[in-house]
Amino acid sequence: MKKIAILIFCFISTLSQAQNKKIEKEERIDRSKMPEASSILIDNIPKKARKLRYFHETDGEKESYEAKFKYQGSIFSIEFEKEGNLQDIEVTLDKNQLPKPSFKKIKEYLKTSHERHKIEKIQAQYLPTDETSIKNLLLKSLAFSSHHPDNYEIIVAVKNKGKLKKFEMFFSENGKFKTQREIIRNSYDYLIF
Amino acid sequence: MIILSSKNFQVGLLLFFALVSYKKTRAQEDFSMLIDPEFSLNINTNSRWSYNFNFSNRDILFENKDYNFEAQHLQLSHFTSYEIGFYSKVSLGIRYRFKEIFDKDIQDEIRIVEQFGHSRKFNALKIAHRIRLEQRLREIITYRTRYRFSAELPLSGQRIDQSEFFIIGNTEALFSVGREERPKLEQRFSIALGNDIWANTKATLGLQYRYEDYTGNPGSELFITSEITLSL
Repeated sequence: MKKIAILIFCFISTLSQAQNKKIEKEERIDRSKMPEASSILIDNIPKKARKLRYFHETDGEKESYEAKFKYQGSIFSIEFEKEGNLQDIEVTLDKNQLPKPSFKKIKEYLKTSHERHKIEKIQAQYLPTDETSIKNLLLKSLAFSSHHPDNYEIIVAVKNKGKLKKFEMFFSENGKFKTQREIIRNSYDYLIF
Repeated sequence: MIILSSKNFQVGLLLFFALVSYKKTRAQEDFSMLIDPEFSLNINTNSRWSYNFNFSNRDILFENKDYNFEAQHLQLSHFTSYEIGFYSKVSLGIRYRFKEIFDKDIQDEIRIVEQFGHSRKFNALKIAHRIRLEQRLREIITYRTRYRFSAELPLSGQRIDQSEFFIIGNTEALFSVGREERPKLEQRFSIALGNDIWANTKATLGLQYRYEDYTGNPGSELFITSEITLSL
């Protein structure tokens, strides 16, 4: 009996350890659950902003918070670290909202490095610096049409030799390629069978 | 509080749909209620080819104004798909329905299916279109064309994580023709609540309302659907 109890205990603890390994979770939260330090910026989100929502995300190790809203037809996302320090501000753009020379350079890069590509999402990324206050950074991002971002973050699906992959790519404000990270592609087969 | 009320609204919507469809269908004469549990296995390879296997069963719960449990068929299906473009797949499938074991007067059915599927995610919303051409080989041969539009939305946050709930709604239009039968039009509406129970495993429980032959001899069916989908 004792042996069985030990075995069950070992099994349960292995199972819980296996589950603890990777708990990716993203959920919508209430404003009151946002870290205290994020209030400085959240209080400055324009009153005319719509669909203001808050999210908490964890990959099991790192935690982050996000405030999302729609303002003058564009989607804004403010990301905070666990303690409430600003990570970045992102604005979702249409390809026509990018400066033409920068977009041309991005397209050229994609054309030369991949057989086929499809841009799924474009975001202008504004990063905090020591020189600019975070309130000013928010103002800068809200007037994105007249202020260049630090980076353009692009979600792009590429096809090479028939193989489909998805990347998150970073380009400079001039459209020069910086880095990329592969994104896991989810299959939606359960929706078509 | 806002989150809570939005969740309550979605659950309320589901219950409302169930109640309305139940009351509406009960009011008509030709009404049946069935259950249709399914198990699906989706295999995605590193190439452009992917495979789907499905096992399901259908039982009648209510028919001819009477509650009566009666097994209707067992079904095995297989689809082989080839990825085209960025978000689409063309598939060829075969389906076998074991009917004779439950009713000696009904022949088993073989169905050949050609399919085009297109699915894409737009922020939190997943959208899928499906066009099917079917040849149903049974006592008579029926040719069927169908189009289904599906949408899936997570109920917590913007993506579906493990153990999280989601909702899937779809509608499908069907048109059947055959040499020995009159052309028939049918419309189906489904709603299901799903959960990512384990990694790569989804479970759904829902309702499907079928309005059959609505231009000729209308009849309606309400299905209680459930599905376990394992993706490898």
